Amino acid sequence: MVLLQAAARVASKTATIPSVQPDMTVVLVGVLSALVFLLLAMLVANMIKFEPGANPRDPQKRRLWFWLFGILATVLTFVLLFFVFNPDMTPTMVNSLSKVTPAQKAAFKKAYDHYMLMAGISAGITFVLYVLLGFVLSKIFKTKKIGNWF
Amino acid sequence: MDNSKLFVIAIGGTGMRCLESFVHLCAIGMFDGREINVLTLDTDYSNGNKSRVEGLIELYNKVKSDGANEGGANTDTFFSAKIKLYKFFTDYSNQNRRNFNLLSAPLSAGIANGDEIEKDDKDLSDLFFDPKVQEFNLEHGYRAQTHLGSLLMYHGIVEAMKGVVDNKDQALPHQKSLAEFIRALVTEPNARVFVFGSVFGGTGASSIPIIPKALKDASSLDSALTLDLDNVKFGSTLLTQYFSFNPPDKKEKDAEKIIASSDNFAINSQAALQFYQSDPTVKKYYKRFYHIGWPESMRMSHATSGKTLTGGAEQTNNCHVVELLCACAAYDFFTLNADALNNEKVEYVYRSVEEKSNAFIFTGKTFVANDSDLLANKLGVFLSFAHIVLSLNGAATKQGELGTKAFIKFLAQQNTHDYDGLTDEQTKDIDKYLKMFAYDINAKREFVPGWIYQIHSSIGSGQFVFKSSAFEEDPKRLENIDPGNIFMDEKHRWKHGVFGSNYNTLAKIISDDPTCKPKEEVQHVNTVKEKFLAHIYKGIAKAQNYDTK
Repeated sequence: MVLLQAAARVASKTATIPSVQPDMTVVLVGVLSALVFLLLAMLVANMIKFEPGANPRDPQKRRLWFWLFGILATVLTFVLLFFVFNPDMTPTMVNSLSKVTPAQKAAFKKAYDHYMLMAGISAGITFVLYVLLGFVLSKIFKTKKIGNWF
Repeated sequence: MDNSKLFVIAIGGTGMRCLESFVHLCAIGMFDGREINVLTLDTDYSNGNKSRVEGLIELYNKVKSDGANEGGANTDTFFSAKIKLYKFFTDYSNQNRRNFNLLSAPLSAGIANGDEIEKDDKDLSDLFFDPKVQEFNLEHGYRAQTHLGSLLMYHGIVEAMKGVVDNKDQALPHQKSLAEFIRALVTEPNARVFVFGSVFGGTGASSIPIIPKALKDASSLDSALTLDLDNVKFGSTLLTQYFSFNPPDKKEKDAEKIIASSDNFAINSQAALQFYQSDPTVKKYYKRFYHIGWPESMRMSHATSGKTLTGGAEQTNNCHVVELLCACAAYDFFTLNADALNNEKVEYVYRSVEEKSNAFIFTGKTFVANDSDLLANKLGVFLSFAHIVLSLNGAATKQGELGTKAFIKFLAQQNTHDYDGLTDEQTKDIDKYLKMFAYDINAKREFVPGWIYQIHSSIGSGQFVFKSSAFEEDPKRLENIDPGNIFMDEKHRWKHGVFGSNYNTLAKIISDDPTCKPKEEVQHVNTVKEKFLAHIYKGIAKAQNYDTK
């Protein structure tokens, strides 16, 4: 939808250069994503029942869901930053605009490239933060169900 | 807490089964912090019920012990009482001690020498005992011949003590064991002794009246020991007939000379009760008698295929609820205030059971009136534990599964490593005890009822403390039994959320609730095994909403 709107603006050739999200926002998306998925992983860990018997599989299930949510959080951060928080035009689109000076185009390309780099870093931050916080929580609450994560 | 030692004497086959119930009461934690000295007394050393209960006590002590440490008396936990077992039997296995005639052989020899006094003794024997009574094999008990039994049991006890006093090194282990029991009794000020036995059979009925005097006279043989019967409070049950068995046919009667018949149990009971009512010795030494009976229409059959069993290793009868009532009578006796036992003459007590549509309703209050919540809760905690270990953790339902060990593994998975030191053998002892308490599934996948299942089935269509679904017998359905849903009342059922389960509730409490961790100073638990059992006990009690100390 966003891309379609952008394409329509490009077609009119009169659109202005879109703004690029500041680094703080990009990192915040990553951090929030990590926290939300960590919360989800905790919820699911608690929902998985303790199983009796010689080979209970509940600890493996909790571990599996933890890593699954970690990957999901990372992917979702990148997807969010790429499709939702990204500038609604690519540098190629901006290049086709007639009312934009070459200097502005070059500045936009630089800002856009930086944003994409930050999106990747933010996705990385999501994963690292998720695992790090998960590890710390697991060790703090080692006798609880989330203690099974590590 | 009263730390005085308690004494229990179990006599004969019925006495042994009452003791079995008593030991299970100890296992569920009814005798917190007490040391109990148990004497098993029988004429039949190979009796199946005797071997079973002695094996049970040995297993109980194995469960409590931890390597070199034999475990002590604890509080608020399973297996909280410390039980010391003493075994004694009047030995009739030897060929020259098999019947009364042989036992009194020196008298006959005396007659040949013309000794008039010994001839008088023989005449006296003939006056009281029929020739057949003097000739039957004593190895399987006194066969309802209580007049002979009382004499021989008294003789057996005094003879054993004499053997120890005369030459301790030469004395047999069972004689030494009796002497040690008497020594423990003499050295305990204000001791309480509870005697288990029936009044309708042979050995128990013969022994209950003479036990106090026999112990006193035996102790007086050792100059260092004298049992002052004024300081010892005796209590017992007057347990009348509650089971029947195959009547003997003519061939068996001829072969055995004397053989007990359950057809005579009612008349035996009546005669015994008349005796207990009038005998001055009994009335003087016993402080309290608990009348316990069972309706004839609901009598359980101990029928065996083919011949009538007179005793021996094959005599391993199922347990009955009246035996649990006897064990609870002992609990009542041991927990009475000292003032309640200062009576000059014996007191007779009884309690009736609620009946609905010709079936009995047994609640906690039926067994222990003052501590009804205590018994039902403790029994419930142990039954839940048994179902978790045997059913859910597969000690009985699945071959080669972990049972109790699964708890250790679970706690380790939850990063609690306090019990990692428990060996497979130690946890298997706990499993084995729980199988004797509840049930087992044998190699042919057949259900084998343990003590509590036998008690439950002895009631027939009646009700026994818990829901009938708590006594599931189908091996497949047992694998999914809910250990938290055994109580009739809502209050003691475990609670769980929409996504949870009762096992989940318990596992969370055990792994994560600091109030369930064993407290060494309060619970007096020292060994790893004692701590583990205390932890599980507290966890289940909490899930059951039973407020422990």
